[in-house]
Amino acid sequence: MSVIAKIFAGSIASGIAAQGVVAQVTGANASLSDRLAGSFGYIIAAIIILLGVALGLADLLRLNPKRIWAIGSVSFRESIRRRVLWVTPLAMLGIIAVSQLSHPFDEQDAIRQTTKYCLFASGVVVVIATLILACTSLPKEIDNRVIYTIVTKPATRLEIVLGKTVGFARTSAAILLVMGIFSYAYLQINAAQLTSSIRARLANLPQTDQSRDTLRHYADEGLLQARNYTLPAPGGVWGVAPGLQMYAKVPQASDPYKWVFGNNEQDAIYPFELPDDLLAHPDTSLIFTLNIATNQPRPLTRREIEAEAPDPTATTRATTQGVAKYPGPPRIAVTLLNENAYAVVTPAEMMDPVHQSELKSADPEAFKNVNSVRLEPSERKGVGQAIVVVPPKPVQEKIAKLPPAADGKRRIYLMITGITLATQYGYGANAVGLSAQISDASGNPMIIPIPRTGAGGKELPPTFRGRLTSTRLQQLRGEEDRTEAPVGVFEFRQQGFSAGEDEVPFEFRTKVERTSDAQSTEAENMTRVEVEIRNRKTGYTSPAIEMTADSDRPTFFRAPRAAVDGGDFDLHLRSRTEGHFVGLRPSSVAVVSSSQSFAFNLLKSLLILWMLSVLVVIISVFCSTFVSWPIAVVLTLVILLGRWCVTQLGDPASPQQMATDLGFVNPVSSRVFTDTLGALNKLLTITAKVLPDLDQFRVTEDIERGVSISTRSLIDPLMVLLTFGTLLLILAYLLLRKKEVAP
Amino acid sequence: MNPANSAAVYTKDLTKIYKDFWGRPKVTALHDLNLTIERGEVFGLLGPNGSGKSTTIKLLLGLIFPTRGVASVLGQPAGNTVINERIGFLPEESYLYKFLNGEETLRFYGKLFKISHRELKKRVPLLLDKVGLDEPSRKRKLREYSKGMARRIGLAQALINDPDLILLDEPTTGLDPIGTREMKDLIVSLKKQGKTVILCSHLLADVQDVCDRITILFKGKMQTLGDVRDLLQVRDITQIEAKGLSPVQIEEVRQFMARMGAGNAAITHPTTTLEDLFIRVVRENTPANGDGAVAVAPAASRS
Ligand SMILES: Nc1ncnc2c1ncn2[C@@H]1O[C@H](COP(=O)(O)OP(=O)(O)OP(=O)(O)O)[C@@H](O)[C@H]1O
Ligand SMILES: [Mg+2]
Repeated sequence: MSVIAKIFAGSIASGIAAQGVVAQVTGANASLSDRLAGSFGYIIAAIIILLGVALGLADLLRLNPKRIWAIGSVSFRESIRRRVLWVTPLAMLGIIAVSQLSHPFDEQDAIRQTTKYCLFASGVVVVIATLILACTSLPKEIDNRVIYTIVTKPATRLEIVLGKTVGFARTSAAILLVMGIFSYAYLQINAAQLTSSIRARLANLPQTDQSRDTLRHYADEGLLQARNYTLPAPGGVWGVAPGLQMYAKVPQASDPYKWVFGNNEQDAIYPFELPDDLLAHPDTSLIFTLNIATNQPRPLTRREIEAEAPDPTATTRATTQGVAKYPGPPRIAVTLLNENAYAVVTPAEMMDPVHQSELKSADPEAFKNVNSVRLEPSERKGVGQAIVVVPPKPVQEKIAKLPPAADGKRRIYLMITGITLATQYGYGANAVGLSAQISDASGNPMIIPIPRTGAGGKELPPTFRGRLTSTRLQQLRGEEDRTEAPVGVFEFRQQGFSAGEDEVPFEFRTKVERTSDAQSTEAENMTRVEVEIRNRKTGYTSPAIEMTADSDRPTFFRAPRAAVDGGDFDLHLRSRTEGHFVGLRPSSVAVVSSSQSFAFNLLKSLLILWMLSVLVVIISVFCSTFVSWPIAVVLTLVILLGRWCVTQLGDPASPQQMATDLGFVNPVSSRVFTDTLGALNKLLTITAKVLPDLDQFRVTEDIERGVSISTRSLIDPLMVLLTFGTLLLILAYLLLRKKEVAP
Repeated sequence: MNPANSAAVYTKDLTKIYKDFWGRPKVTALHDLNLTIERGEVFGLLGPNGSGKSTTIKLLLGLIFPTRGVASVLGQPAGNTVINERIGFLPEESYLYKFLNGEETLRFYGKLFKISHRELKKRVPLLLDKVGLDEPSRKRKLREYSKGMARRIGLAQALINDPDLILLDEPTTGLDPIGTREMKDLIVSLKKQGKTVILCSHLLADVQDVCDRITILFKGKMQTLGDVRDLLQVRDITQIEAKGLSPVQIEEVRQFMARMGAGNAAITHPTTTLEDLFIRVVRENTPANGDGAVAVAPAASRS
């Protein structure tokens, strides 16, 4: 059952974790076996299709839809006459019971939960029903020998396999139809009640209340929605604006620097494209020169002094309020990232040549790393300098082995993190430069500058990013004082976007994290968020729009048309509650551009469920061609859940680490253990790759949030169904052909 | 001409060994069967229980695959779905969908033959009449059928495609004597239409009336093969039948036969078979309305 829960939860986190696993597996070592593993699925698919066509061409040519439909109709009629539809009232009772017993925080949450229960129950019922029906059908017919009278008719075994699939697909469609009609009616009734309670609440709310906009949105539009969005520029794509940037303050045209906070709060990330021939040199090292402006406007607060280990070089100065402690000289940490923003070269592997002399070590190989590089004053006032060297070893072992991006280029991302408290770091036009050092023919070092440009000679824009949470949201710290508050800038670059009405509805979603002392006071549990929109074309800036936000439910607000017209605008967002961290990603803010009918959205959700049930039918029919039905049920579940289970095992801990954890001291046994574990790991990953990916069946993810289900969400499961389903049907046919259908 | 192409059924060294889970031989159900059945023939496959009759039929239909040897049916290798268009099969018990009613069953099987809807509308009631299922029972689910009724609907589905080759595995089990007689009549009429019928039974009485040729299987091996009359005729026994002889005249005949050298001549009143008797009794107790046997058939089958 838990997989279904998983499908419904649609957690993005695990998707990314899984991506990470894959990245590790494919990225670490592109040896032959890995490459084989990568195309393992395709090889198997090709073999199955070839076998199917070679052995079954005659049957394929005889294929007759009428016969398939006839066989399907009998299976369908059997399910109906066996009263399979009687499970639906049970599911309905379950939905009613659970939704009445649940404790939503508000109307919107109530409808969200009920939607989820409806689809969850429909999914559970349809999956279990089709699983059992389809798994028992063929074995039962072979056992009671009804199959004798079918196989001795001109029906080919291919038609029998397809007929069964069609029949049970019809059964599941019938179940879903009943459940869908019920869900629609039940949700409509609920929504009507809840909307009237929203209206009542709105009537009693003071004009200035910050949740008015959101409530008014629901009162006007109803609770059952299917919204379409216009999003900020797509983030994370190479050479394209990231969609969301985090700054210490909004960049001004008059200021040559873009400012971010220190204290590990915000990073600057600079992309570089590395020429292949450079990486081919075994002695290539990379040299980054950094010119970063810094600003230390205030003394450390008491909390900062208490919470952070004080910098030993911090100075104490006398001020009028007594003794204030100021931050020490600005320091940075530097890491190299790959395309997916995972670390490739850690600070410990890179060298800070400027401060090498400070290192007191007897080891001649030791070097000063870049965990904490002090910026040295330069000739420009307020600008600090640092040099970071990536020695030949990590260049060869890490960077040269990075898998190239889709366009064949090798890219790295230099991440600079300011680590000093109460310090702002400013990045100007030439903040970062890169050159490579190699030896020429006579062994003399040669310096080759590497431009910071991509295709077409365009300069690649840096990204300014907030600290990431475990679910990869960027954290925006809340701050009472507006001038001190960090700001998230959402970059909307939608050419030709035109606002229809005088006020344009926006939606904001977040996940709020609170520090423990902020949580203690009940009144502080509301997170105040402030938004301001600047039209880049006209220069018009909207007045500040205030609202309260919370995790997992949307907040709605309206912006004046002048701010967004033309589609080229920046949305500045600040959290104004101390100790509340607002989690953001580029899609956290969106313009609600249109609304679809909820019935249509429900239909799309049911369609995804139906595709899931058809997949279950196909796997069940396949399994039932070669094992008895109880084993077929179990095997079907294993095939369905296998991939998900493997991704849940997640990031495979390094076998070496496990060996030491388990206390293998003998090097031989430890070696045997790590090798076995490694092989097992590889086997699991390969197996998981050929199993269907249930994560593609995102049934409730959109609809429960009131978002219109995209075509993409329909096409993804369809692709899984088509590829995986076709192959399994061919296999089922081949197995049944070879089977003696006498018990 | 190659018998594999011209004959209705041709087998060469056809052998079936049932194996257990590990592939070890368990039962030799059929051993080196060599058989040629001509088109238009009514052929009887005889033998005691477990002698391999049903196994032979399953092999011919491709339900199971031979361990060794070849079988061809209507000029095609056994199990080819194309020839199934021209085959009708009545399995040893009626293995049909229990949740369908009689008409639905026939319509379903008809659709597997791609018979058009209109044609089925005509053919289904005709066939149901032919096998003697009355109106109310046609609408009932097969799960409610008596054994004989299930047999009748099974026969109807075997004939739905007007087949050239009909395989009947113990067609008379579960049928009342009238049904048995009708079955025999049906087989004779099929033969008249030039169809090939393979009849499988261990009841000699069934077979002797209708079959042209028979073979007797025993423990998977073919024991005899030949013409029914030849096989059933016992050459050195003569039976004399006469009507209205007095005991004195009988004694005279006996003495005459003793003179002719036939010692221990047995002169008895000849008996009819039980089956003949049963039919006569039913006929005599049914009001004459032309074809009385057909009229009583459904009533008898339900009792
Ligand atoms: N699936 C099977 N597995 C193992 N042995 C089997 C199987 N089916 C049949 N047999 C064996 O094969 C032999 C022949 O069986 P078959 O059903 O052909 O007999 P039959 O002549 O039709 O008998 P009956 O008159 O009882 O119907 C029997 O000994 C039987 O036990
Ligand atoms: Mg038998």
